[in-house]
Amino acid sequence: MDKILEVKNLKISFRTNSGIVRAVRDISLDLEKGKTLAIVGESGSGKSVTSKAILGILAGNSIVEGGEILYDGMDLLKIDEEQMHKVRGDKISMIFQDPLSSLNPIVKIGNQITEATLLKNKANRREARNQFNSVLALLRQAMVDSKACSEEKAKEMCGTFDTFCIKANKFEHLYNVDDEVCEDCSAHLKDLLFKAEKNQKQNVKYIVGDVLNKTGNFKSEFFVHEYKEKLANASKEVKELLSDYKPTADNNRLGEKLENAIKELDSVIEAMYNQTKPNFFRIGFYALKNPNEDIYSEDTEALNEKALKFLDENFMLEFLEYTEKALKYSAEKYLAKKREAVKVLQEQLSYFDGTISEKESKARAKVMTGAVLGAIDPLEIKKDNRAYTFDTGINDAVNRYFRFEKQNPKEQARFDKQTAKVEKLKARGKKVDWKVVPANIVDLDLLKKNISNVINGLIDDYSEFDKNFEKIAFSERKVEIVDFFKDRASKVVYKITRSMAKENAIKLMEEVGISEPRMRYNQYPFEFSGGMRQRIVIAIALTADPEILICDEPTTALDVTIQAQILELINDLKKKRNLSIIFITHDLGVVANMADDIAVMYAGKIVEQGTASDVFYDPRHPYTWALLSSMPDLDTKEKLESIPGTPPNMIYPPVGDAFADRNKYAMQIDYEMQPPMFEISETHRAATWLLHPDAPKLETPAIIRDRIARMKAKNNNGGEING
Amino acid sequence: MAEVKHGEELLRVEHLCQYFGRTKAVDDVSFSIYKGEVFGLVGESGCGKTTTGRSIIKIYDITSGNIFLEGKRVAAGVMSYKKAIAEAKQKLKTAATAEEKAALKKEIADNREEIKKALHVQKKEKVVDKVQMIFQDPIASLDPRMTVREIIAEGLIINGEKDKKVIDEKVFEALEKVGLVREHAGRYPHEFSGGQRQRIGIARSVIMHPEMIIADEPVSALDVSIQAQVINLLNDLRKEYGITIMFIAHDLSVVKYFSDRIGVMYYGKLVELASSDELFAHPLHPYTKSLLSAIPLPDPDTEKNRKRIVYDKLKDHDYSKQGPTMREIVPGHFVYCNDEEAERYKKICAE
Repeated sequence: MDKILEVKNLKISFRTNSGIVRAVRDISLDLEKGKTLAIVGESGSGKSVTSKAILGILAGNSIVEGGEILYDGMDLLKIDEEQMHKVRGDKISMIFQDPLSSLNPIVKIGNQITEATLLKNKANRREARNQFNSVLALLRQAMVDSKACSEEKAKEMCGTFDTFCIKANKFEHLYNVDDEVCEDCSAHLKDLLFKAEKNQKQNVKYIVGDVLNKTGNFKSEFFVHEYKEKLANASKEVKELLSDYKPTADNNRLGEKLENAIKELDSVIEAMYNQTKPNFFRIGFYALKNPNEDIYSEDTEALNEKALKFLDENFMLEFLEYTEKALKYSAEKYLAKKREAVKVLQEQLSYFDGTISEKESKARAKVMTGAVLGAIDPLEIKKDNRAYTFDTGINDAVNRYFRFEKQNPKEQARFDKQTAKVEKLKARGKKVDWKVVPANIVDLDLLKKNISNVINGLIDDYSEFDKNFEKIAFSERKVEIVDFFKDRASKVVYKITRSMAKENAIKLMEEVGISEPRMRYNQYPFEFSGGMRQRIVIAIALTADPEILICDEPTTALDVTIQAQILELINDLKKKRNLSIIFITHDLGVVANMADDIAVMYAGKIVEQGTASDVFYDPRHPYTWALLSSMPDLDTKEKLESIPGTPPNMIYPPVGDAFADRNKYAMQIDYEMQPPMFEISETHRAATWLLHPDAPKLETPAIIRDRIARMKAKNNNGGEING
Repeated sequence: MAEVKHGEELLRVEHLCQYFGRTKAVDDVSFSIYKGEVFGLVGESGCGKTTTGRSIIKIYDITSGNIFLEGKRVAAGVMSYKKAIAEAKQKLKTAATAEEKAALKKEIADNREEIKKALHVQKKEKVVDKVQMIFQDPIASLDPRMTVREIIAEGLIINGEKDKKVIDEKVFEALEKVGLVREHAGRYPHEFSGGQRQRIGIARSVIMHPEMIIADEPVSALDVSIQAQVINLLNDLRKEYGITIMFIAHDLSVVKYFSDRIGVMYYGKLVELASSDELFAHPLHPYTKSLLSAIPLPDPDTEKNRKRIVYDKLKDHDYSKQGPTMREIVPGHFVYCNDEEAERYKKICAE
């Protein structure tokens, strides 16, 4: 599986007046590409803190005690603000719990929604172009170095590849834009016809005029060629009839002639967006080499075939062959460098066992970083997280050690004073009901171990790579790299104009349930109600087109219908854009709809983790039981099982299982020792002593067992819903 | 099929209209609430369910219609009378015979009399000692500068209770009723967790020994585990003290669990009213169906295959020939529909 984001052993605390609050205590999560990970828990369980750590927006009094958040070759906990800017909102976007405060009161809604799209689009295109060029240049050099072909040949091939790849994507982009406009137009016309039939008042002239305007301005020759005449005829007829159309107060119907004409126009438009899409990558090359041929009038299928053959014979096979050689050469070259780097790392590692000095440590870190960065294969598309984060990781670990090594005299003085006070009180025989916060809150040994952990981790990674080197399939990797180029090229040509952005925004506003979006597009935030504003914020987060979307209770304040609508929208976008989502909520019903994987959090720890069906159909942790049985479903009649008490005070985290106090199944050991994660199946894990082989066998509570049985019965009966 | 057996009628709402300028927040809504039952009111945000609750405890002066509490008119609107007068005046201009004129003049006079009465009711009648409200947000609805004792006792003091001992006793009683302890009386709201704060809100509402509590989304702002605590508490209060509850919420699973009868509102109209089992087993109005299809359930397999029904006013109804009104399809099950739809619904129910 493709992991897009990894959280490893994350620990976060908050320094407050009354002591250190341990908000997140050693959690690890994996987010897979295109999947939804739901984090479930009560307020104060640390779920929002985790998500904020990912975005690097923790409050000022927070202390990240340890752990890593790996994303795209970066450790998000350790990169500087400059780098974080490129990730936050751009690659990882967030829908906040309280969106009411995140709109700008003096900017119109429409501008706020489109702002990000337009700004980002420009930057994205520039970045994609840079990546395309730099990787292609590297590939060219590798081709020459590997002696796959001569320098002139490589230059020529790469040049051709560049030109036709971009050209093909330009074709495709224009086609896609037209296709989308076409679909919209058809939807507008159908809506118009329907409303007219129901005798609803509407601005027919404006709507039809808008459609005619758009259909008259198609840019892709591939798209309109076949239908040019038909479209022109149908448009002309509609235009003529439209000038005679005069609705009255009670009669808003169109009249037979106009209705038929519009239907005719609609059928042409529908045929247009239902036509088969040509394979532009092949055609791009064909068009480049045969500039004088009229490719538009040819049948799509035949053209596809012809172009494929032409491309393979004249370019692609040869290009792929060279690419494979180049990739292999480059990988071998860097394998040798990796071996050297491992040697360097091993040499330096021993130093960090004994006492270390700041100057020496930093010098050694620099040596290692140099060796590691030199060993990264730039032609590898999948970024090896550990090597990329080594630089920031080691420097951060070293800095952290020496920062905490220095004693803070103020803190020390406070500590001495308070201890003296406690001693005094104790000497007088009084009971002391508060603890002295230690002067140094961080364990230095642990910090030192962190340094060697970073080094060891990379050594392991590299020796693993060395072992598996023979198994690398370069035939797959050459396809991968071509796909990479295609992807970047499509980003280079993906130009969004202001009017396109506006259309998108209006569509999205409609999708999130805002009526009359065209009118509301030009309104200010204060003209919207609370629920409406929340929808706007969701729309803004979605237009940013991120890779990872973090949803922090996005629908908690909305009612069911809108909630369902917005969840559907998020799910659609997930499919369409291959989004990965972290979904934070306390509502298990919502989770069942959204999640592929679920992590149940309690008091800063993950207590149960598994796929959605694992957690819902086979819950193991008493806290999961309690959560499930405290919410009524449609067939619940018995008294709800509420969880007694409140979550523990995290200034003094409990020694044993944090849930023990509220758990009626708690055993003696739950109060004494932290339960480890027990594996139940490959995907399912839970941290409770009940899963220990020596523990008494406990049945799942009756209320949950009954419900699961009921659900299964219902699902077997063809998935009938809500009776 | 649900049996139709009700206790004594406690509250009757007749043709309630509440307009804010041109916005018709509540438009011609009628229903009754019986003693000891839980009446659920659901609908999407902005459909007027909270406004209905607020109109009943007279936070707003209603635009038109009547509200009766234990048979006594406690709120009345004047718009319908004003309209009648305007119509009569219009007719008066074209009236031919002297008899007709006299009749119309009498009508106008009668309506003027009604307006006077209604205004009197609006000013003088009080419901706060009989009907109390629990608010959605337990943080915003408690004054941070007042102790719990002051918050809970405020209603008593306003109603003229001066004896400190009596007040304290009643406050402690109310606290114990909602599962808090006496020691909590001296603290401030911020020292409590969300669930406990909502309990304080409930204690404040039960101290006047109300006949009825209007609970306006009392659990939406709470965590799941705490939600169950509050729902169980409300259930206990109702069983022990026979308090009637009007439960306004958008979480349908909770409403289903908690209510005896449910009213569904859509854009200021009550579109369906039935006992909760009946409503969930045989939803008739298309909006109710769409609402029920949107309920999230803790069941991944069903959820992944769920098809949400989308309600479209234009597609689902044809009101061009005859407008809809509230009709009883089977005993106790009312739907907002016209003749043709009523026939259809009756057939569905007969099956």
